[in-house]
Amino acid sequence: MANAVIRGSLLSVGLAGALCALAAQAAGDSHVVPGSRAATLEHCVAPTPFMRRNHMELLLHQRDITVHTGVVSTKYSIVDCVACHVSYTGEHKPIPINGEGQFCDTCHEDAAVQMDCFECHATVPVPAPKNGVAGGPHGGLVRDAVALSGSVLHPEGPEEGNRP
Amino acid sequence: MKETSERIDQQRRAFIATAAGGAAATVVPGVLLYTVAGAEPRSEPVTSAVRWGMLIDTAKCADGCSACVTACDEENGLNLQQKPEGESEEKWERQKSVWIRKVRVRDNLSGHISNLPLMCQHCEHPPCVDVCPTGASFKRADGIVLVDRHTCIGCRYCMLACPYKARSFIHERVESKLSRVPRGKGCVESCTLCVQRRDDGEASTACADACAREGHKAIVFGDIKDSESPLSRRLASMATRQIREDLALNTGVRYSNV
Repeated sequence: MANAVIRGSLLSVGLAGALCALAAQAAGDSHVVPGSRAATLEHCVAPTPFMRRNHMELLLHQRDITVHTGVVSTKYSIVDCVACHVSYTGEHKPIPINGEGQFCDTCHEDAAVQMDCFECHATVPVPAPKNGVAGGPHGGLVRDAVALSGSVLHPEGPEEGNRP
Repeated sequence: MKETSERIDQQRRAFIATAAGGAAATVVPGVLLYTVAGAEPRSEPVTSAVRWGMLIDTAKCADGCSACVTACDEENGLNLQQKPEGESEEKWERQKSVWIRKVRVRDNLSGHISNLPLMCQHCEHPPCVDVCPTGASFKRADGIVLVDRHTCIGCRYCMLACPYKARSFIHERVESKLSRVPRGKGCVESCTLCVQRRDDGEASTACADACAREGHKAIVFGDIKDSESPLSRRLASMATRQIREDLALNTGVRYSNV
């Protein structure tokens, strides 16, 4: 029992130390990617050190509020994170935010923390925001949808449902 | 005896749900009711002061028209789905996600044919919510039945429970998707009554708009609880039916002339 307690406290001291080292390293330089809208702003929706430490908590909290109560006018929206932090190629093509060397990837690679956000969420603003400016709920992207083409017609009849 | 055992007792259902973990106790005391004004993004939680629903007049639904399906596909990014490499066309047709199905119903005696779009019926007592082991299937306060993809484990129990075959499972990785409609491998999904439009304060759904554009006006979307809404007036003035009324699910989507 006593051993377990000592081992536990040693582990937490070690972890705290590692986190401090990581934070000190991260605080020195910016991971904001040049060419993104974020690069033109002084800081994120909250001070940078706070965002570095707490963005995952903010997103976790926000996702439940948005999905279950429908509140979308929020500053902690993953769609807005992507819209603001995504960078562009020379041809103004957005680069996936979790791609190598991109905003999410740089720190997460360093910290060896896997993100599952982009299994479902779009890694670039889709559809592309008008005039390259994103903002507001759903990244200000909602009503540009009709621009997307290539609709698929589904066969008719009651037997065509997706099967489990 | 048979009749009593077959009658559906909603109080018993509610009691079982409460006993099973208190999940049914969704009424929070002291919640203020707000009305959504104009086309503003939602900043206050949805309330049960509204219940979204639809009326589909099958007499106006044209044979061979699939404008609602196409509009739904574009609004919700379903047209961005790609057939996985090496999969047969036939299997892909069965497995890709579909939110609205155009169904043709024929009365064997009279030969009368009705066309109708069938989607999630947004039940008041949704069986998908009853069976979900993780609470991922849920009914929002405004009556929209949704899947929280963050907690869906892809067991597909809800797909089996749904009497309308309204749900789809995403079998493979999804490469392209819309920002406003996330989609990923291993989750179940179905019609959301264009929830992104609801939360941005827009008036209608993609399918209802498309149907009106085609000139059929077979789909009316609106608030069932607002007695002045065009939907409520239509519901009050004409005979409508729920599909599988016998299950007493009190669906939010009603049909007329079936």
